[in-house]
Amino acid sequence: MSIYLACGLLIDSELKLPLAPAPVLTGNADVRVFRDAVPLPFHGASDCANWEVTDRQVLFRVAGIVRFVISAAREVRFELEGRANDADAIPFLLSTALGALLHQRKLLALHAGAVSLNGQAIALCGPAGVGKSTLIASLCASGCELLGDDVSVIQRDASGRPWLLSDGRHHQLWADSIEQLHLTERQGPPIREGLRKFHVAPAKATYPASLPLKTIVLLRGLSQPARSRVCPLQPADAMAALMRTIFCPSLATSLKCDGLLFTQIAATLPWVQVLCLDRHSRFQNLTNDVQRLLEHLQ
Amino acid sequence: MTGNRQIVWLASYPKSGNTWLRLLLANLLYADEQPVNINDLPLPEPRVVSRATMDRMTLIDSSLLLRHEVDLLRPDWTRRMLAQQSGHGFVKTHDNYRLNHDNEPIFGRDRTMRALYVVRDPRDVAVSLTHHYGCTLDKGVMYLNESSASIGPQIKRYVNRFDDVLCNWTEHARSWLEQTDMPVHLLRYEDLLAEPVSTFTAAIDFLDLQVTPEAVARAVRFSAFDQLQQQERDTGFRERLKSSTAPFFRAGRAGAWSGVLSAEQARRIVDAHHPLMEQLGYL
Repeated sequence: MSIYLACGLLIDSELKLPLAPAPVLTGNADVRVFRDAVPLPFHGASDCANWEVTDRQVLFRVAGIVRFVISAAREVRFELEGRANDADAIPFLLSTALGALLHQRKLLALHAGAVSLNGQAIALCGPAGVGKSTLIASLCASGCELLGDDVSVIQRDASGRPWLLSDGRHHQLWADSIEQLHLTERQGPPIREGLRKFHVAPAKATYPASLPLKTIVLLRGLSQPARSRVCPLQPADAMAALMRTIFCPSLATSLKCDGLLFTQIAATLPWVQVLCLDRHSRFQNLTNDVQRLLEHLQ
Repeated sequence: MTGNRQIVWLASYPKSGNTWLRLLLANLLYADEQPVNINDLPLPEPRVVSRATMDRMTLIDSSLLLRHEVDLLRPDWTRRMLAQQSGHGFVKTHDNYRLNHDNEPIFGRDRTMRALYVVRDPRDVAVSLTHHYGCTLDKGVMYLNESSASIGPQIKRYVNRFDDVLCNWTEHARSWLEQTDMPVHLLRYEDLLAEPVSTFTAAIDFLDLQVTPEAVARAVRFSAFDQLQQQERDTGFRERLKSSTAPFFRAGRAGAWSGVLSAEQARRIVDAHHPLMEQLGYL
């Protein structure tokens, strides 16, 4: 077993994860990931037979690859299916299974990558495919440092100040982006064997586990070519937009977390600026988009 | 909820008239005094090829799946999604008809399914592809002629739809026209241009849609190319690719390839697709 740090949690895992190792383990891990029998079939209330939620458990299946049971916010059991191997299961552990765990723990988790600038965190949110990871890699080439790739947990300290907890992941970029951003030299192994999405090492080997959150940027794709624009969002609009960026939102709803998440976001908003970046996701526009965004972030 | 359900796959190779067919159907079934908005088609479309919809339904980040794994899971996803469907559903797809590794059609099996397959002279398709993807004519020709064996096994960027052309033009058309899992009706783009009312009426009859000749005539009028071009000029068209070098509704002509393709480029297409082109009346 190895111990990792992700989203503020110490994870003791039988699977070898592409995450930052925990610096020093004092006391018990927060979460255990281990191999075990996971029964079939699921008989849940959900109309999707590949997942179900009960009071204490989330069951999640990717047919032909892996089944998970996430229990009591501290245990992830997994069973491989068919000819799948450990490496096939890991990306699903670090996406949906992790999302289930975070919601069971009542944490505010956004579908957002993150960078740091001047010692403060900037979260970049948006739907899959909008270009978060590519923009983050480009920001990192312009003076920012990587803080997280896909999930940003926001937790407030005793004074109420929000902190962003890193997911401990390196960049994950599609082959196309790696080529366009000239990152081939830093390209690592694929996320899964055969997939053309790769781990890409950050410029700096280590980065902080958490930083005070200063800005949340919401990425929106323009369907027609147009100059990108950055505009601040008013609190009511920011509230609605951030509720739409919750990581694994169906799980949050099934676990009856929506009310709490609303409260957590409302408590976060007075401390941060929320910007909207509307951009047409062509690589040719990327440098300009980054400059325009940095002008607002500085 | 299967009582009055009918699922219609609107299938074609890219740039062959699929969008036009959808506009004809939308204007037939849902237009009032004005043509339907090209950016907000009221045509009911079960989102069975939408990655975001399937990801929400299954909680699986499908961008982590390999193509053959998606194909294995699609029949079940489609079945679940269609279980919530009533009435007509029209699904656009550029998928070639194929079986997954379990020998199941990736579209699932459903007794209510039918398909309209639109085909267009591949030489005109090559020209249209070139404008659509912003690539050279040679690349457009190569794309059209590429066999399933030479197409990359996995996507190299995020795409928001599952449907994918994994074969060349002939293989694509044959995959739909020769499958026997669901009834299929063939429409030639050129016939839709030359004889829109009768060609569209035959498709409507195939689908057992009860409509008046006046409604068909109005749908054809509302979907005329100059109408579509005007709407695109006024409001843009969301299906136009970022890399496109021309409007989506560009020319809408048949045979324009002869002034664009070199003799060598046209020959390469004919050499690759001669039997089917002949069978479909293009030679």
